[in-house]
Amino acid sequence: MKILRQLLFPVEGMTRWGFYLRLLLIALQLLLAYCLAEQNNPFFYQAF
Amino acid sequence: MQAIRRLLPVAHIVLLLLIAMIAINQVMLTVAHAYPDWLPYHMEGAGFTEDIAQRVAAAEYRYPSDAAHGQYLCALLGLSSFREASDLQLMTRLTDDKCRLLGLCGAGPSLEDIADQSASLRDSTLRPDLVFIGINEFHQAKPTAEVAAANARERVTFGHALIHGDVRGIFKPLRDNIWFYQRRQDVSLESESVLLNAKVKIVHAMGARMENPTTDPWREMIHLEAPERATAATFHDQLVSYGNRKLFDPATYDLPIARQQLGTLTQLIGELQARGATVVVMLMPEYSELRQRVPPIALERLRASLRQLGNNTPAVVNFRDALSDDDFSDISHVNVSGRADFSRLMAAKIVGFLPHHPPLMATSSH
Repeated sequence: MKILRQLLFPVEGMTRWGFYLRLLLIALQLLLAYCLAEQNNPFFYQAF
Repeated sequence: MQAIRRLLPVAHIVLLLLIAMIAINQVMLTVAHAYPDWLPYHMEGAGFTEDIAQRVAAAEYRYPSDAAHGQYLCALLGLSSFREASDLQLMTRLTDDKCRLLGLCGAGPSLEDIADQSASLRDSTLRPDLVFIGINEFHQAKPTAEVAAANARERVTFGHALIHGDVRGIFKPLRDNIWFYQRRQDVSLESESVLLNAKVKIVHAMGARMENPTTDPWREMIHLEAPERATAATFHDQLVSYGNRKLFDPATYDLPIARQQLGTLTQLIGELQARGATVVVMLMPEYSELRQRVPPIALERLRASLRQLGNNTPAVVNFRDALSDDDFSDISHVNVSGRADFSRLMAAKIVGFLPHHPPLMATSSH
């Protein structure tokens, strides 16, 4: 239980809100990357 | 122990990322309940109808100058089996740019979906020289509410799967509750269109001309991101689902609803012919087991219905066994190699059916 509680807290050396915000942003980026990769032509950005 | 201690920071971040993803997913599901239309549905009936209407409107604006240069207009009407099998760029190249290909295929289980989703073509000023209607003979069977109920009964519940250790049954309902899985293609298509529109605006602001690829009438039809080859379990599930739709039961093709669906098809053909188009009905390639299990009466009824058009009976191109099973992603859709193979066959047919007179809209554009 103690380990689990430890795991849910931010790493040392970062503010709590900064840590959780970065975590959310990374999670969102991963989910969006999944959506964008799920294309027949994953290289659609070659249109640029 | 030392190794586990070293992995602890990684486990820490992975666990927190997982929690963040679950939280984001829950927020997206809640938002989707409150505002279901905030992200447009591209991969459903209404989404396809809108997409087709935009293609028709853009072609009305763009095609007259192509007609003046002698290019024919060829419209492709159908459902997902035709949409997935078409590579418009390849077909255009193989037909030596003799015609403009307008991809107007949507999605759905029955013939009336083709007529409904392509209504904008009939309401437009476009006069296609050639129209290919790509169907499967079983599209005359329209699923009823009982069929949906039968398919729902087949579904394995999460609890049942958990008790029986059915891994596939456990993960499927979990996957279906992930918003980013359900809407991945809409997110992808919407992001692509926002980025491409921004690119066009920047190019225009710099004083250059550029065709917007997201509104170009001759653009590729929307394709599914299906795997090259579905698993044997998926093939089995699809055949069971088609069985529940009674597509393998000869009596289905004697029902009044089947006659009504065929009536919709002949009416659509008649309306297109009245605009001067040569209409060709094309029977789409089918996975061998599906082809063998659909009773012959389905094709007989379809052909008999088309013969009722008398002198205007359209040509029927039978591609049912034109592709091998390796060309299929699942029982009703082709994969990438199947698309290329079918597009080559299709290009040859387009050339064969092109009229010998100038394009219908060549005269009206002068």
